[in-house]
Amino acid sequence: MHEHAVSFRILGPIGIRVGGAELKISAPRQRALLAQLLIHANRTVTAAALIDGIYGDSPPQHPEAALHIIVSRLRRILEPITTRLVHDRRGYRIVVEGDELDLTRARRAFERGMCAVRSGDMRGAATAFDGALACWSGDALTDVSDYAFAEAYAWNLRELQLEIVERRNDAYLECGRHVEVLRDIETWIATEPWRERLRGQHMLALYRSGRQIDALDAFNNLRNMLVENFGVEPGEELKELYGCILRQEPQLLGNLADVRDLRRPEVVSTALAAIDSEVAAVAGRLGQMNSNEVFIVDGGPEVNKTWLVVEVSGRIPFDGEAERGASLPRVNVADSLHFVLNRLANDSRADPRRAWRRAVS
Amino acid sequence: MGIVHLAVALHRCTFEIWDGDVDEAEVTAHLLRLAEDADWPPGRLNLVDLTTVGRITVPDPELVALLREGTILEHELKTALVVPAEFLDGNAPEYDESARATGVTTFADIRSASEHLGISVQAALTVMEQLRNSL
Repeated sequence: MHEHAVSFRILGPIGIRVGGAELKISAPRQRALLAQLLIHANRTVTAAALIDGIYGDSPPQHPEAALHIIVSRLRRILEPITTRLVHDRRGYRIVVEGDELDLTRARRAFERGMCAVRSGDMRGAATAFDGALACWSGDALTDVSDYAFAEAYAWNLRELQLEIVERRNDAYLECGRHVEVLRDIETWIATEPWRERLRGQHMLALYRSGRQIDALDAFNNLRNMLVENFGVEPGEELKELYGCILRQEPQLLGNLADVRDLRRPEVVSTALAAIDSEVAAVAGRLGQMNSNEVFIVDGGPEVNKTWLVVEVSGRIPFDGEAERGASLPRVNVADSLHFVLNRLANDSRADPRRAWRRAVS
Repeated sequence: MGIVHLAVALHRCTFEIWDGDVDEAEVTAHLLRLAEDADWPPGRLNLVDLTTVGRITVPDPELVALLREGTILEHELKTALVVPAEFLDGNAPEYDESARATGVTTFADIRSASEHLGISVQAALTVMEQLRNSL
């Protein structure tokens, strides 16, 4: 038992915290040794494997002495928890308890997410998968990537992370949280451009956000890249999705959440906080306008115009407008604004006022 | 015969005596003792007495690097070697030159060496006497 909470990290730079204090492990080979032991937490790693992992094809002249020195120096740094580093007749192991290792927490959260998926609880799944992804503090094993042992493990951990990302995206899409997850999908595509599952999720999120043209463009951009770089076409699943988008097939909308759900506090992105004053200004102005006046929200891509429209739609007293005798059609105004203004955004060459008239006609 | 050391935090200095013929096994054992010494390194200073050494084996550079890795000695090291007089009479200029290149300075006695390191002469003499008695 230990008095202070202990946590070990390999899903990012290697690290240990004891009682909230980070143990400083500045020596590269000590970090490499620790990383190997944590990858095989609670299991003995032979001295030969540890030496091979650190030195690869260039072992030192005195390998046992070298390992002894690295272990001794590491043991000094682990002073608060030195008993966790165990030497037995076969080699060395590090004792990790419960959820102390970030990888353990990530795997357990992933399993909870998969259970939720199987039971149809997509909101629960999304939360669990988000919790799993939060265990990463960077690229796994990033500060020991030069060592012989690290490449294979880092690759496996990266694949695990990507699997969780894609499962999380699916869960979000199932919940109708496409706007919320869209930016994150695009971030992942920037580093993993060839993963077609991500690309498909991107296309679907764009389409459900009212950005049909962007969804089609996303497919065409990928196709062009694949043909130019590898001489291959996108896979059949992606082609099929493209066709569905072209035909605007109803099943693509899935379980699209009511727009009001997007205004739940936990859904609002941090970016929205920055435009809150703009929301108040627009909502205030709209509340004073006559029925024959038009308010145009204009701006370049990725400036949160959609968020602005959605937020504003929740603040306008439309019942008040009806009482003043305005001949407003009985429509979901938020959806109308959303759709029309996205058409504006997609037609960047057009004069906004002409495009607006064209959009509402 | 052999190698003995004492890490003294007060002086931020590791004191060592190499005595007699020192083979590879003894050199390696010395490095392992340093690794296991909870008080080592006490600082960046080293005072090493080689006046009674016979034949020596140069330490494995990889083991020395592992010892220093992550410590103050990785980037800052000031070493004073006390060597037999014949090393200082110009008969081994290549030794003197290489010693300077590695941040090591050679002296004929402990007094000069300790003054170079900024350590009390009396303290250095006391520690060295204690170490030599332990050989």
